Amino acid sequence: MFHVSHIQELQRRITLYDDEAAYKELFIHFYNPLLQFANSFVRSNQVAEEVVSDVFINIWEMRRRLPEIAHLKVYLYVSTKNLSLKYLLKQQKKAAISIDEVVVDIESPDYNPEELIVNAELIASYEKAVSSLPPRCKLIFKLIKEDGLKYKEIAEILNISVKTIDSQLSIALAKIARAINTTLKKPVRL
Amino acid sequence: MTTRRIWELIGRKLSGEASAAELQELEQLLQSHPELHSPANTLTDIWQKTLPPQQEDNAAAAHERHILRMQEKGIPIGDMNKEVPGKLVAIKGPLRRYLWAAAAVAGIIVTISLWRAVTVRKAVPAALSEVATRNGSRTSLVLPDGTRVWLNGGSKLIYDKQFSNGNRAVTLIGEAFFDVVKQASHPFVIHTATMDIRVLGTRFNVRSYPDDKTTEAALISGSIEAIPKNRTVASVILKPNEKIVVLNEVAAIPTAARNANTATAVIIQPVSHYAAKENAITETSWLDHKLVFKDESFAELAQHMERFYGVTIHFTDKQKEELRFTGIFAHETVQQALNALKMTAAFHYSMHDNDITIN
Repeated sequence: MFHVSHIQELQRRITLYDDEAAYKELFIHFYNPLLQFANSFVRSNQVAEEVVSDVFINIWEMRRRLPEIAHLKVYLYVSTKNLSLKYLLKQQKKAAISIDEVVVDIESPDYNPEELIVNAELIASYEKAVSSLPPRCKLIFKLIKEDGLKYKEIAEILNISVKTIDSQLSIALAKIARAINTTLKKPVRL
Repeated sequence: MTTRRIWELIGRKLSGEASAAELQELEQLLQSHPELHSPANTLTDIWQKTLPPQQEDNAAAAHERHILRMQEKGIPIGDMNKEVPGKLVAIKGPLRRYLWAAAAVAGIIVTISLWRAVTVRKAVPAALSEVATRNGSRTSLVLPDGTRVWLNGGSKLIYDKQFSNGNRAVTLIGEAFFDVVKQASHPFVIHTATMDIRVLGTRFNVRSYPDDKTTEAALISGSIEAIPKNRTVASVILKPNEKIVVLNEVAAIPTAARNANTATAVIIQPVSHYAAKENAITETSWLDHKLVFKDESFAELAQHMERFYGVTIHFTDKQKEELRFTGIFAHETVQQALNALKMTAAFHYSMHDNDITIN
């Protein structure tokens, strides 16, 4: 995860020097999280990639005004959400889309089995529990755990309160813990 | 309700949002719920040890597609790091025949022919890397030795792909600011059309546009040695805040007249400041995206504006080229800049796309 000051440094280099290497670094860092975020709305890899590409084209074209953006990370997520919704509204001729309609995919995590006190069976039950979380719950869980976003940032991106995040994450954790507990209590087969 | 609060606090703890008071509260709540210890610990372990999958490769490929897409939309980007293959030296007749013969025979002779092939390749000049910018755009790059280069618009930096500690040489056409990494035993050399610059480790600006009247090197810190080409002056060591200015057209002067002229063809003078601040140095103002001009003719200024804004400027009236201006442009658009100039001098301009005519 980039430190805020590093993002600001990239922002400065892009504004002052049209620094394409800094632009590339920013793109590569945020590409996958933003792609997955867009995908949870538009449900198409191809469309999601176009959305993220459009977000970054805007960034390049407004590069002289980048210093005006205080939280570039939040800005990138919000733009991704807005462009995704714009696409959906055009497609479905709808007036609004609820965050409960989003579909979130969480990729299988990387882990080093030797570092875990738990076994593969537990990991499997964890993954299963995560994937069966309700959409909004899963989205918030993913943004916190995978994307490393702060509560305040998520609140701004999804336009919800920190209180909602607290309660959604607690629901997610309680459900996952229940699944883990069931696996833990299973008699060990010899 | 308490377990709900416990999970809320565990969530805050795992995501790094918990305050000291909340951590303490969690500790106390867990004491009265021993049945949650085991799932909470397991969950914490999984949370902390599993990482989202790393997919840098797919992001790099997506970046390439993204840049292509921008280029298709006509956005000027991605002309950096274009690779220019070096000249290929043809393998001459007898050697070629030898290589064919070697390839035809198996075993030890194949090894010999491979060795020959390697030596042949060594004789070929190594491929060159070229970084170029269009007018109106700039870029920065880090060379393999860690030296940082900021390249101004309409400029080109060429260096050997084998650029390394032993061979720190670049060729510059246009303008660049260098922050050279110090390596006492390996000087860094910049070749330009009219002079070479040798440095050990320092920060300085070089301006060497082919269509300018002069080539300049302005030193900010450290020390550099400038070696003008075809001049009576052998070499000049610059001190910080000094610059060397070399006239570009000396080659055009007839040999008989040259000696008298070359004495004044190389000038050392202090760098100039555009504001009463130590770091407001005119020579490096482009790094802050400023176009600074002091008593410049409109012809010269137009050339700088072309590079700064990525436009072309024509004069239909020779007299207008002689107008003189002093000022600074920073955030102005090219129209705003021209309108500002129009307020101090009598001229008109028309603009079609990026083509400007002064009349």
